[in-house]
Amino acid sequence: MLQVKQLNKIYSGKVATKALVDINLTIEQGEFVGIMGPSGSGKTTLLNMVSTIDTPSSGEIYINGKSPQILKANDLARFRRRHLGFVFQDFNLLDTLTIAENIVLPLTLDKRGLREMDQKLKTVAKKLGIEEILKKRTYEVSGGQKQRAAIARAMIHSPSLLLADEPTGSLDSKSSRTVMEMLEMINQTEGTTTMLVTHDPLAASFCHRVVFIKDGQLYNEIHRGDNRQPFFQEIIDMLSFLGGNNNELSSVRV
Amino acid sequence: MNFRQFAFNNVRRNTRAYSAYFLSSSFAVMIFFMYAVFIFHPDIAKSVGGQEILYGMKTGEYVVLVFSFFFILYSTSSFLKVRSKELGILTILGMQKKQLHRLIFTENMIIGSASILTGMISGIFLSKLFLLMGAKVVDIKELPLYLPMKAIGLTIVSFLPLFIIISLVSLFLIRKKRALELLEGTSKPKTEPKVSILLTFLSLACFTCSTLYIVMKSKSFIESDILQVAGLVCIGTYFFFHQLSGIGIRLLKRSRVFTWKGTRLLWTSEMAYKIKDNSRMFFMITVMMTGACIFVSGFIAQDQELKEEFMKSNPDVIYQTPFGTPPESEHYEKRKWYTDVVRIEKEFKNSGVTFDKVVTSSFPMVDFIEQSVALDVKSQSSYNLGAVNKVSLKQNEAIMIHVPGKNTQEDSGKIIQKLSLPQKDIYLNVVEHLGKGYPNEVIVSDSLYNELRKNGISQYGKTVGETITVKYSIPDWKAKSNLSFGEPVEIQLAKEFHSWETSEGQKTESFEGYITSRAQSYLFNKSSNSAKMFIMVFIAAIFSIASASFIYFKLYTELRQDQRMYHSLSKIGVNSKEMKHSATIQIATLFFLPFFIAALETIIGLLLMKEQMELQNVFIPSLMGTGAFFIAQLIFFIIVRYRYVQQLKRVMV
Repeated sequence: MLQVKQLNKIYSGKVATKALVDINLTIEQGEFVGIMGPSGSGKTTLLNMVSTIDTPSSGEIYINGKSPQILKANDLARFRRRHLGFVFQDFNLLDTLTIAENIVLPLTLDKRGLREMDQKLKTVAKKLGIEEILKKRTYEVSGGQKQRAAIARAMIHSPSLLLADEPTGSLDSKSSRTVMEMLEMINQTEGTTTMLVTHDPLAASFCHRVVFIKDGQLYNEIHRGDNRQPFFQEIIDMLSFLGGNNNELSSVRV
Repeated sequence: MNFRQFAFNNVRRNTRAYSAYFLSSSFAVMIFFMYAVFIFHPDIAKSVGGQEILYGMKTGEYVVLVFSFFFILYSTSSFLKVRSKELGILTILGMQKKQLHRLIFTENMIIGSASILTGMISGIFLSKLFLLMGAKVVDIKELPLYLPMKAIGLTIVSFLPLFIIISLVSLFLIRKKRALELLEGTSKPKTEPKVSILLTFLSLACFTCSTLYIVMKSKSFIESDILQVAGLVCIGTYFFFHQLSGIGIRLLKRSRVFTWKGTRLLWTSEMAYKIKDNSRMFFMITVMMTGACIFVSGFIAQDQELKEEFMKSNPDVIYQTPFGTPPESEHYEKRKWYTDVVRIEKEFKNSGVTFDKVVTSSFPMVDFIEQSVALDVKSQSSYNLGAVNKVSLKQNEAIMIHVPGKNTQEDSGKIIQKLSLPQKDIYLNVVEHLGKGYPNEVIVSDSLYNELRKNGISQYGKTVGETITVKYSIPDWKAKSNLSFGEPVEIQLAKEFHSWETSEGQKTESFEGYITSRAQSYLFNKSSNSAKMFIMVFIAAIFSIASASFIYFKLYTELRQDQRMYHSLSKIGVNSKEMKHSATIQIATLFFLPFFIAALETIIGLLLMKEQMELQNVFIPSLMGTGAFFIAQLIFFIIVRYRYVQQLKRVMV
């Protein structure tokens, strides 16, 4: 589904920074993958490359076997709104629109029929449990509801790849759990391939697989078994391992 | 780094943010300064008609100053809004209120002084152009550029206090805001525009009332009524913009078929908020533009009608002897004034003009109408000499002849029906009016003419002579009646005659009488009109530019917000083309919504008031007037849109 080959990103400036170095990553159809790492490790840069809003210095990205890099800016925008779905930390819903209008925005931009939009809106709103707030405005609903609306917007056109950037970053723990359950449910029922960038070990524990990045390089990856609880513990261990000094920790662990 | 240096560096290093504010202030100063250079020019007051133009220019100067005040105040407040986050950070860092005020004050004064300087320097360069144009209008030789010390003084004296006042006022704008409010700045969520049926109704009622007011009072409409009508229209306009957004969003929401398609969803909702946020600005711009449009259109209409009047009127050249020429006109060949006539005829021959000559006599009568208009009284037989349609009048009948031109009297529109000299028991009925405009001549029967002459004599207590009128009819000129195209012989001769009358005649007293002709009064009207036009075009241009920069400022304050919105939208797949489309519609609304309302108000207002303004045809002139504004708006729109879209493009991924 998604293939990243030998990806490098260098920010040139007075001091050239290697943001990503030789990243190789493959995500299968229907997989739910989390990207974790300390701040400044390059996980958001990776997400930006995959979501085509930034261009790599070298290397290739294939989404469904196609390389979006060769597209022109306008076609790229169209590619994003048809094939990708985005969920952001700060929701990025428009204040001037109602929740329903925010959700159907990608479809209206594609000039779809009203009946089709209504039907899809109904389905997705029911699935995410936000039917009651459709007519409300963004400032009238809670953060968790906003994020669910944002997920609905990302899902309404059935994208082939869903990209979530810290979706629980500005939510309380209860809303975070609901939002993650929603994402997991969508991944299971719709089979939508999902890539999640997060700091939050709890959010990451909903993934099938978590990839760790440190200083722009792939560091490790761990797979989830049947149970979420031990996976959560593993993620926490991995994070403390990443955060501390290598030698000290390894001696304790082994 | 001391405090002043901090303020100075703030300004110097943040040029981009300050530039719009700085440029608009400099612009206001420049316009003011250029006017001042013209007003204080030593050659203007000396020139013919210079006083009248000076008067107009001075009025323009006041308007510019008052306008600059509001304009700069507005710029300051929107500029402070842009910077509110920065001010918030300074407050958090522990800057005291007093220091913050001092910082803002110092910054404002730095920009103010710099813009006074820039405005004057650019003003001096542009003055050359201005003086050139002005000289053409005043119809004298090109004015030399001089060192305008007085103008410099006036500009500094006017603008320095203005900037000080504005700096102080701007402190009030941020007075009560807490650090958090400053930090959040404009990023608070917007609430939905509300609809008030009452206020909508009020707006409609105001428009209806003002219309009815004009229609009902059409006969007895006086100048003070204009204020009431203008007041009503202002209130109506204010609530119109206040309510329009709410109504608009409601109507649009009803039609999802329309709204839920392409970028419409984006711009319709955005627009409703923009109109709501900018309703006060829209109101100001609309009122300003309506005023300017009505003036310009009314002026064009008047000008056109005057021109048409001239085209229709007789192209005769009339020579008149001074008042009180002895009545023995039989041997006029021996009189002194006859040399003038000879000279005129020689000039005609040199130019190859053939003419018919009629010599008549008349005398002025002051008391005929109460307003003491001097009317020339002429006998029926004298009139018939040169007339195509001969008249025959009874004892108490009279014919009045009007000449083109605006009547200065109150009752100008009404036609004088009766002429009377109560003390002599003479009452006349005016049975016919010839021509239109200013009442000039009365034709009476021969017997009455003689009687009146005697009365006139006794009235002044001494012998009052007649005025001998020599009328030259030139058949060639009747066919070719376009005076404004090129310079026909008619105009050339009129200029020649005029110079005899004024300079040479006064010096040597060799020219005794007066010459009037169509071309001459045409020239006179044209020069006084073009002076008015010159002033009007400048004031209108200032209004137009000012309204455009109002809008630009408004956009600039919202730029960051829009950039953020389009940045996140571009992530979810809005491309540059769609962004351009949606932004263009929004900017176009800001520019043209107030314009169209102003144009509508102008056209309707002029159509309703044309009787009161004594105009015949106002529709085409008002289209011309508003059209000129439209073109100006269009140019500004294209420039601003380009710059704005350029700014938004930067954030598109």
